[in-house]
Amino acid sequence: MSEWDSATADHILIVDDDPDTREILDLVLGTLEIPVHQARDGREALNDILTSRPRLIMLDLSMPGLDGRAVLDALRVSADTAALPVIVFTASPVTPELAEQLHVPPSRILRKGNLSMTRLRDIALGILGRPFAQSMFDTQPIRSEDS
Amino acid sequence: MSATASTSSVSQSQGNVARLVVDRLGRVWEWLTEPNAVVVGSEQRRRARLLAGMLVFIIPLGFIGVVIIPLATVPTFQLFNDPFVLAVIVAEVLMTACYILSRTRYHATGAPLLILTISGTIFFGIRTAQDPLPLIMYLGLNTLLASLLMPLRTTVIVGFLSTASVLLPPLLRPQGLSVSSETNAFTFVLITSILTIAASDMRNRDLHRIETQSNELAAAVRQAQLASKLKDQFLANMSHELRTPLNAIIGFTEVMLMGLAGDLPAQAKRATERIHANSERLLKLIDDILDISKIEAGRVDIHKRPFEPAELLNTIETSIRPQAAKNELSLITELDPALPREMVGDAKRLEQILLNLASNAVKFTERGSITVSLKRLNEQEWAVVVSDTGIGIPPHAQETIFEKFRQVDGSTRRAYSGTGLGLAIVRELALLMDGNVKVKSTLGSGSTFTVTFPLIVPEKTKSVWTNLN
Repeated sequence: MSEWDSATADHILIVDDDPDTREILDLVLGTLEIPVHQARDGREALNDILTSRPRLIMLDLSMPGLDGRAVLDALRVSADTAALPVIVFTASPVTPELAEQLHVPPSRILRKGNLSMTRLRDIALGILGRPFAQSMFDTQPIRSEDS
Repeated sequence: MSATASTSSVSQSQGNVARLVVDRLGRVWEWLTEPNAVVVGSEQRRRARLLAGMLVFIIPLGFIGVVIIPLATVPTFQLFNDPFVLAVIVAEVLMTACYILSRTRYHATGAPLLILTISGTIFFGIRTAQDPLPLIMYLGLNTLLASLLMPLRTTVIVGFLSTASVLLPPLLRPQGLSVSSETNAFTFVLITSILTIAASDMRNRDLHRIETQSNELAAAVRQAQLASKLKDQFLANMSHELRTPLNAIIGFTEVMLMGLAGDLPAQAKRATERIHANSERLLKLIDDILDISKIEAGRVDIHKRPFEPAELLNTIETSIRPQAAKNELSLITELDPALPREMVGDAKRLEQILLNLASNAVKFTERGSITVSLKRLNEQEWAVVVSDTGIGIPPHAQETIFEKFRQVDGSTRRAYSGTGLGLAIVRELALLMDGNVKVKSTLGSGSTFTVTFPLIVPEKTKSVWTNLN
């Protein structure tokens, strides 16, 4: 886990209650040369998002306490956090119904075990590689001074 | 064609009117007889409803018979001169009170009041009529009413009293009824009462048995529902619990294969690749088993919504091309231009069917090509066709390959990896979508799987589509 530093504000945040998944994602996304933060549940995730500003959130859905749905809801409260790019990384089957429930595009919901880590890294890189402000909700861009 | 259509629509509309009338009458009946909400217990409610229902008929009938018809047909008829008519009018008032009681929580007092009213009217009639004999017979009616509206013990008492009352000398012999007539009346009321009580007792026993059985059934159904809910939950949990460690195994082997855990010696890399391939196979097996058990339990929902066949074909191509390329097979995809741009169906399930068929084709084909095509067959049907130039299926096996855990023979299972569930899932899913699976195959030169589906065009594009044709 990397220390957050105001000078290099952007990092990837991994939210999952399973330590194995966190470690795998840390190893794979660590190769992108961007600091990686880990959160064990929704509460830790929101703490991290409030104190710093991640460039990408890998979010598990089912977690004890504050779960992924609750995190998504909390992010939508302010336009600032609503603009953060989120990849939902879940063990449940990805269906159009799930995408509708979460209000997340189906392309941003990935099922654990069903895609290779190389592909996952490419998807993450695709999101990070865009101009920084491109968000999943297509709301107003975030300027880096905001964070 | 149009003639038949119009006839059928006329008879249909007549049927609709009849159904509507029956429906309305049923609602009026409900409104007239529905017991008060404070009355609980199915037997109590049934009695209250029966009492109200009887009175709804008896009150107007009595009125019509004793007042309206004589007024209309007998020129000399004067309403208040005939004491029997007056008695019936009093009885009508009392019965209206019974009806009102039947709709309250005091419905149980309605039945004795009704019986007393009817008995009183009969007794009054006996005293005033020229020939009392037919009226005496009506005393048997009391037992019948009691058997319908009251518990068995009360019915026995009412039966006894009715029968005994036939013998009451002051009531019955004002005009000097002959002894033989009296014996006849007594026998008639006695037999009627005994038969009614016996029938009522049998009916009560039957009702009791039916009630016990239906309670037991309801309990069994509740238990079965609970059990199936628990089973669903168990399946869902098991899926999650099995997948979590397996995902970790797959994830970590991928991390190793990506070189993120240091460089692997060639042999270690091969071993890791085998671990990875087998873990993925296990994951697929778990998914397939869960799928087939969900389908068999009738818990797979088909979500019909508009989809684009071109997009479906594209998805399949993206998923299958790497597999085909790995086996040096060429992949051909064909989209019939006669297919509508948009159709209605469950794209996710269609994708599952196509992926199963196509990866099967790749698995059983050593050289040559795999063709995946979406075709329009006629006005009503379209089909997905997956053909290969593989080993083919002998005729005797062409039926059994759709069964669970069946491959052509035991040896193929070892040679060709797979869960043996793919085709069973394809068939079950196709049936759920009103589809039909067929296979044509020549041993040694290839197989063709055709799944036909009903062609449904989304409402909004339908008019455009018919115009195009």
